[in-house]
This record gives sequence, C-alpha cells and structure tokens, in this order.
Amino acid sequence: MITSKIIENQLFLSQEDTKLETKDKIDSFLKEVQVRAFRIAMISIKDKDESKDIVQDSMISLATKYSDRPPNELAPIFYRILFNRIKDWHRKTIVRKRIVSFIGFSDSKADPIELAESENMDPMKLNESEEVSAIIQGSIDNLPSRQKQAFILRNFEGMSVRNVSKVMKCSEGSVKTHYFRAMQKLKIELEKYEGNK
Amino acid sequence: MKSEDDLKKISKDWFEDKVKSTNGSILSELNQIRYDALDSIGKKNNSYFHKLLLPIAGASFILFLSMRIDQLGLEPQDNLAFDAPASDIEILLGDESFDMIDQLDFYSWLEEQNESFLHDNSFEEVG
Repeated sequence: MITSKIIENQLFLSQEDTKLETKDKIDSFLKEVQVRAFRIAMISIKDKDESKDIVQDSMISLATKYSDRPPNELAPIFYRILFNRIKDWHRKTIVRKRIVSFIGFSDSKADPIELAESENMDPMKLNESEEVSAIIQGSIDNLPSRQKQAFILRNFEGMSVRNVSKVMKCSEGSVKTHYFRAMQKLKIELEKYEGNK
Repeated sequence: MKSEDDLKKISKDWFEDKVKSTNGSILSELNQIRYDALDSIGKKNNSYFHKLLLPIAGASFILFLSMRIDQLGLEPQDNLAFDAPASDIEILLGDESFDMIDQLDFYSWLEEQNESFLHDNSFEEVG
C-alpha cells in the first residue's frame, strides 16, 4: 500500500518535472523569437495590431500542438506557422477588399505617413541610411511570397538551407533558387540607388 | 559593385536595427502574449470543435425551422378561429338563414312574450 503511494507520488513528480521542462523550453524559445517574429510580421503586414495578433496565434499554436517537439525542431515549425498566418491574413484582406468594392463602399485608405513608422518618415531627418532602409523595405515588399520567405529566413534568421526547406516545404534546391533571385533583386535596387547618387 | 556578403550585411543590419528599435510597450505586450501562450501548454486545442460548432448549430436550426413549417402546413386546422369564417359564409350563402335574419325582430319579440307570459303565470301560481 505504502509502496504504491510512493510510486504514485514519484510518477506525479516526474510528470510535473516534464511539464516544467517543456514550459522552460518553449519559454526560452519564444523569448528569443518574439520580437523577431513581430518584426517579420510587420515587414509583410505593416500593421502593429494585426502583427501582434498573428504572433499571438503562432505562439499559442506552437504551445498547444508542438510543445513536445525537441528544441531544434521548434524554429522551423514556428516560422512555418507564422508564414501560414501571414498568408491567411493576406487572403482574408484580398477577400475583404473584393467584398467592400463589390458592395460599393470605398475602402478607406489611411494616410501612408500615419501608417509608416515615424522614424523613417520625417523628410527632414531622411539621411542616407534611411534611404537605404526604404530601398530594402521596398525591395522586400516587391518580392514574390516564396522569395520573401527564403530571404527572411536565410538572411535575417540565419537558418540553414535544410531548415528553410522544412519551413517552406520544398526542396533545398528551390530554397537556393528563391534566395538567389531575392538577392539579385535587392542588389539591382541598391546599385540603382548608388548610381543615382 | 556590391558583393553578396555586403548585401547580406546591409539587409541583416537593417533588420537588427528594426528589432532593437522595438519600443517598450510593444515588448511588454509581446511578453504578455508569450505568458498567455505558455499557459495554453497542455490544454486541449478545441479549435476544431469551435470551428464545427457554428455550422452544425446553424444547419440544425434551419432543419428544425423547416420541419416546423412543414408541420404547420400539414396539421388539420380545427380551431374556432379558422372555423368561424367558414360557417359564417355558409350561413350567408344559405337561403334559410336570410329568412331567419329578416324575421329576427319577430323572433326576439316572440321570445320576450313567452318569457313575460311565464313570469305572469308563476306569480299567479304563488298567489
């Protein structure tokens, strides 16, 4: 009787330990990526509240469904969820715009100066680095979705080609091609800017 | 002519600047979001249930409504409110009823006479 109680207690304690370990693992991972994920969402969406919602959805999805995965698998899974959420947001926005235009209401276009982050938009403070910043942002905006993903993951997140291919669910060769094309476009834009100086 | 490494560095620095420039209020909101996500570890994900609940509830409500409408249409209408107009029409259309209506004053007078006659007789019996 007493031994069974001891075994039960030990089992309970080991379960609690596992829970705590899982929580710590997810916490340290999310702490590391939360701001970066928010910035990636901002690059694609340019809306703070929507970006926060997307990051929140991605974090909750990772925590509820994939918390038992080993730490090295968390990053590809998390970024896959994040990019899927961003893609869903774009789809919903397109549908919403179509409905609004079909009904006949004019979609209120907010002032781009208000939408943009203040540090980049003051014309008096616009210097060379800010011009370069605008060019990079513009180049990323103009990239097709797959090239954008490859560029962000490879360059900003420093992920290996193998992990990027896991996130994008394509071959490593395709990742290299997408990344190369994205880099080429960025190079052309920056060279154009330097040529005009 | 920029090399690939230069391009990498420029764009990477640009992104890192963005990350560093994230203000305190956004950081605290992101921390709160993280805590909420951590609380959801181990909880069952009922999103599929919630996604299915609304369409199933809507479909069953429509089915229920359509069944009720069918039942109302098939049920025999045996209440007085529906019978009364039909019987009025029958009376109005019948030849006999017009005779009765024409002589309604006579019948009411006759009824009054009968009542007073009975009344008078009853007093006589008492006396």
